[in-house]
Parts: sequence; C-alpha cells; structure tokens
Amino acid sequence: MEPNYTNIEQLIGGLKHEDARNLRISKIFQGLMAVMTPLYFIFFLIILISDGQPLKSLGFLFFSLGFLTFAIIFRKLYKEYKSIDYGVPTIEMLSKAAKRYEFWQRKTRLVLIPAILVSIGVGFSLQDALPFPDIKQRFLVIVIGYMITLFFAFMVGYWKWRVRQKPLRDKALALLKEIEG
Amino acid sequence: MKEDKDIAFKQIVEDNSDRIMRICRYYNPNAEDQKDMYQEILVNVWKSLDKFRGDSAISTWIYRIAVNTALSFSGKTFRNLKMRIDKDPNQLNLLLDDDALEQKMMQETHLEELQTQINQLSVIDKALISLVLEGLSMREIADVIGLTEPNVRVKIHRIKDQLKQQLNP
Repeated sequence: MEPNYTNIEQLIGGLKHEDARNLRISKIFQGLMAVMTPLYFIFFLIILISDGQPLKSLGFLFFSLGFLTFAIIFRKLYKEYKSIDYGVPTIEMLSKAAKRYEFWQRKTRLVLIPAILVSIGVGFSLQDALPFPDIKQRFLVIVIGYMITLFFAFMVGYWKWRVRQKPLRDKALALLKEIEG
Repeated sequence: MKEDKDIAFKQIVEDNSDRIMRICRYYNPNAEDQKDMYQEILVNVWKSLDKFRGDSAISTWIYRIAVNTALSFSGKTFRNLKMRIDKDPNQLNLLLDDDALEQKMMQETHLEELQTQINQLSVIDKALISLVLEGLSMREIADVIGLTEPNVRVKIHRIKDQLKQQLNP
C-alpha cells in the first residue's frame, strides 16, 4: 500500500525547515551571548580603569558572568531538547518524560545562577539611581526590588508548568505505574 | 549527510508505511485522526532518526515510535483512545486463541461486543493488544515496551483471559 496519507516530499521540506529554524534561533541566541559576555567584561575594565568606580564596574563583571552562565545553560537545554528520542522502549520514554517535566529539577536550579548574578550586577551598576546615602542600603533596595520581580517571573513560570507540563508528567507517571504494576 | 537522512527517511517510510497505518487504524476509528497520527509518527521518526544506531530491528524501532507517539498523541485525550478491530480471522486468532469464540466474533454484533470490551481496557493493555494483533512475538513486544518477556507473557495472558471471560460468560 502506498503512503497516501501524506506528501512525503512536502513533509521532509517542512521538517527540514523546522530543524533549520530551531538551529538558527539557537545560533542567534548563543551568538548574542558570545557578544554580550566579552562586551560587558570590556565595560567592566573600562569603568574600573577610567572612572575609578569599582562598585559600578563590578556590576558589569556580574552581568558578564550572568550572560556566560546563561549561554552555557541554554546550550545544555538545547542539547536536551535535541536528544528527545521516540525510538526507545516505552518505559524509558515515559521515565525520561516524567523527569523532563519535573518542576524543581537541576536545570531550574541552574537557571537561578545567572538570574542571581544579573541581580547582583543590577545592584552594583544602579548605585547612582537611588537617593539613599548609604551604599549598603542602596544595594539592598535594588537587589530586593529585582528579587521581587524575579519572584513574580518564577510564579508565572510555576503557573505555566502547572497548566502545561504537570498534566504531561502526571500522565507519564500514571502510564508507568500501569505498565510496571 | 542531510541527503543521507532524506534517503534513509524515505526508505523507512516506504518500507513501513503499511505497518504505521495499521497502528494508526487500531487506535483511531476516525480517518482524519488516523491521518493526523500517521503524520505525527513520521515527524517522530524524523526527529529520532539521527539516534537510531541499529541496536534493534528497524521494525521494533518503528513499533516503539508508533506506540510512544500513540501514548503521547498530542491531539487526543489518551484515555479516550479507541481501538478498532477488523473482522479478520487471523487477527481474531491472535487475540482469542479459541476457535469457537473466533467463529462467534465473526458475526457483526459479537464483533462490536469485542470492540467494546477492548475499548474498556487500560491504555497500556490496548497498546499491548495492538502489538499482539501485529503478530509480534512476546520477545519483540518486550523489546518495544521495555518489560521483561515473562512479564509481557503474563500481562497478555491476563488480558486474553479477561476478554474471553467477558465475551463467553
């Protein structure tokens, strides 16, 4: 019987197009991080040497480190996305899916590293923006403000996980229980 | 390299399209859903092709992708997967191992009864039944699902017994 359900050439074209698009997005993002990391490091050096503002310059160093760690994590996540394999035994596929859709997993914790680095960077680099005389007070206000924003972003992420990924995880776990039971 | 992937993909689809279509038919009575699932299986074959190392037979690999896609078929609520059994003596033989019961099921009304009973099975049991209907050995089914062969044997024996009891009280 000929495969009359689908035009195979058209399907291959579409799949290749999607592969190319994903690769392009990944490359653009990694390219961006590869530019931002040294750029902010150069800012750190320039401000440190010419302006004599060590705290402000330190902010740029933290930004640079934040971009670098984010690039590394993104690369890892992209590799993980690319490694999804439907050709493994069902039990293995379901176990991997349940693990992939866990909320508090290693990659969630890893994402916190660049977020905290950028938060410290914001704290140092926006020193002049607040009227408080005490440096510690200014730093704390900025970091706490940033952390509150981060908390809201975290809650949005959690809500999205509950709606989209938790049902998939629950389904995978239920199927695993059924197979192994 | 990309050309090689195209050629390998086309060859796999050509060699296995019947197999994939049958799996799609088991799971979806509706032609439109069969078509969607067929397309989704091909997409997953494409995505997984780079990782195929030939450790298992290509047919086992295809069955794995088909069953795994069926279990995670995005367009469907998995609990509602409906199986369709044809009035095919070979298929009924694989499923029931009972001549008298097979003759009975060849009648339209009884076939419907069989269909209803199968659709009340759990989604995993349906997946196992679809592989039995394909004529796979216990070893091959174990390779597809990832269970041990004795475990598969026990599960399939239990499903068949359950069906026989319900159809022949």
